[in-house]
Amino acid sequence: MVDGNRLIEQAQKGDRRAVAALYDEYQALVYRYIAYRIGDPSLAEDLTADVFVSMVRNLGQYEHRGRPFLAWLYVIAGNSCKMYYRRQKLAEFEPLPEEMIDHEPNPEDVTHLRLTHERLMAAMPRLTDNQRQVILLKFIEGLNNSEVAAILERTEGAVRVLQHRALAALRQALVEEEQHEPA
Amino acid sequence: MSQPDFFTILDECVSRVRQGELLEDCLADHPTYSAELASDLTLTAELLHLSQLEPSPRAVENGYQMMMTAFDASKNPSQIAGLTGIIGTLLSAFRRPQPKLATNVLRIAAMAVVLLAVMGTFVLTASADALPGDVLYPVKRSWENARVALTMDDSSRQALRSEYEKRRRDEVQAVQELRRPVVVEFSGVVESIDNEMWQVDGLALTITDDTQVSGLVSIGQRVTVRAQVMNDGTLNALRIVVHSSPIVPGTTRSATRQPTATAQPVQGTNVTRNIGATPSSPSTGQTRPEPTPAVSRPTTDRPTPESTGTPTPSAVDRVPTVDGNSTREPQPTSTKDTDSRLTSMPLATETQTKTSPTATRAPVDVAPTPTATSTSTRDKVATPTATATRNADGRDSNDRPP
Repeated sequence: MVDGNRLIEQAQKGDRRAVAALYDEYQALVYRYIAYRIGDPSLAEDLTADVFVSMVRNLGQYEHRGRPFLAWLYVIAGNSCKMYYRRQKLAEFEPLPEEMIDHEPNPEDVTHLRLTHERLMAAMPRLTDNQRQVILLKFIEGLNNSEVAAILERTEGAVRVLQHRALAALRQALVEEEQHEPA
Repeated sequence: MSQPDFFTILDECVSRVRQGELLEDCLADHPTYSAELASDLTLTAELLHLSQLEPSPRAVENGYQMMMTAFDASKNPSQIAGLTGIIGTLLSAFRRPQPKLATNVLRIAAMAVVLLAVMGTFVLTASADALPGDVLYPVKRSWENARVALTMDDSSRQALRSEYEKRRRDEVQAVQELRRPVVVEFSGVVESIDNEMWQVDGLALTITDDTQVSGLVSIGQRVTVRAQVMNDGTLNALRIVVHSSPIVPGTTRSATRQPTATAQPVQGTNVTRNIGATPSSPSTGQTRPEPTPAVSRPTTDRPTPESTGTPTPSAVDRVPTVDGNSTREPQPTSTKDTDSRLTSMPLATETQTKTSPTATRAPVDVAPTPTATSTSTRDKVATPTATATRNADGRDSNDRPP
């Protein structure tokens, strides 16, 4: 992760190279956020483009108040996903109810799972936004707890708890997805 | 051990697995939580080994272009606001199609609307300076007609018409200077009549044997002229339509106090004739003395004539015959009688229709229009009566083009 503050200031002043650098820095992260939220990698490409168009249009309104720039982009991306569902008149995936999540599962449940992008893509939309972001940021993007906490505006202790719940919810969703897969 | 300890242990183990340590080593270090840890750490290991999901290079490039287009547009506020949207829409056409057919149809329709709007604006702008004979001239005229039709306020509409009439005359002068042989049409007030040379709002008009004149023409009258611009820049009149009575200084053309008659148009009252047959009046310089059918009629407030069919001999007497000769000598127009003449016209018309077979055949020049209720007679008769009637209706009076 780069400290994008200087880049953002330059971009806000109209520096094309700074805007291009922001795109290079964040487009893949935004893409993965959207792809795992809607479960459609191709559609995620389109929506990612919309997010960055929206970014340059609203760049002047962005103020750095300690929250990372990526968190601001995730808000735009989240709105873009909601707009997509609204336009398509589709219902977003319902997160798994907390009571359905087994926090002490049999390790055998997941050891035989060969996790693929397709399986992960199918399961991730069933997590809450915070759970999904913890999985994404910590295990896929490789951020540490303090960085994840800053993006989620949580404490590091809360991120640790959320991490466990996110893993449990993901495991549950994967198992359920597997059960629905045709033999 | 309390729950936070488990979360801390899990976090520590996750970090160790991320750094490449074996899962079994972590579980061995924390046998109390090995069951829970095993499940979470197995999934962690699976997630960590998963390769990064990446967008296609084409999508990355498309997204970059769209973003930069939006960025450039936002940097320059003077740029057309819709440009970004247009380019974005066009670029989006190359993106992956949406699953629903309706979405695609809507997208194409939106693009078509945007393109049409852009092209329409361009064509309208380009047609602003078009002259008669230009390809875009019909576009210009259509746009003007639409503006007039869409203007609700009477005074604004009148102002718009006046503006367009002046524009027509300016266009005629322009094509005359260019010596472009085209047919033009304009409206104006007759300023002078000198044998074959008339002056209409500053434009010199040549009257030929083929010129058709509808209505009675005299100085001060509004006319609509259709003319051919010749190769030498002169203007040969093809057709002249008289709209109203002469505009005489000091007089006002007001509406009649009583509603005007709404008698039916007279069949066969074709006043179009060849100018060559017009008797001229050397003393006044006018080519046609104007009979004033109502000059002797009392100007009292007369109610709207009822269709009783009662003949009025005086009116019959004033009906001219087809060869242009009136059964009585035409009376020169009296300035002070302008209003009263307008008032009494409909009655004369109706009477003439019912009582004089000759009149119904061809009452040249003086056949007063009953009302403006029939559009079919607009070319045939254009007399002060029609003007008065429109005024009484509260609508614009005498600038209606043919």
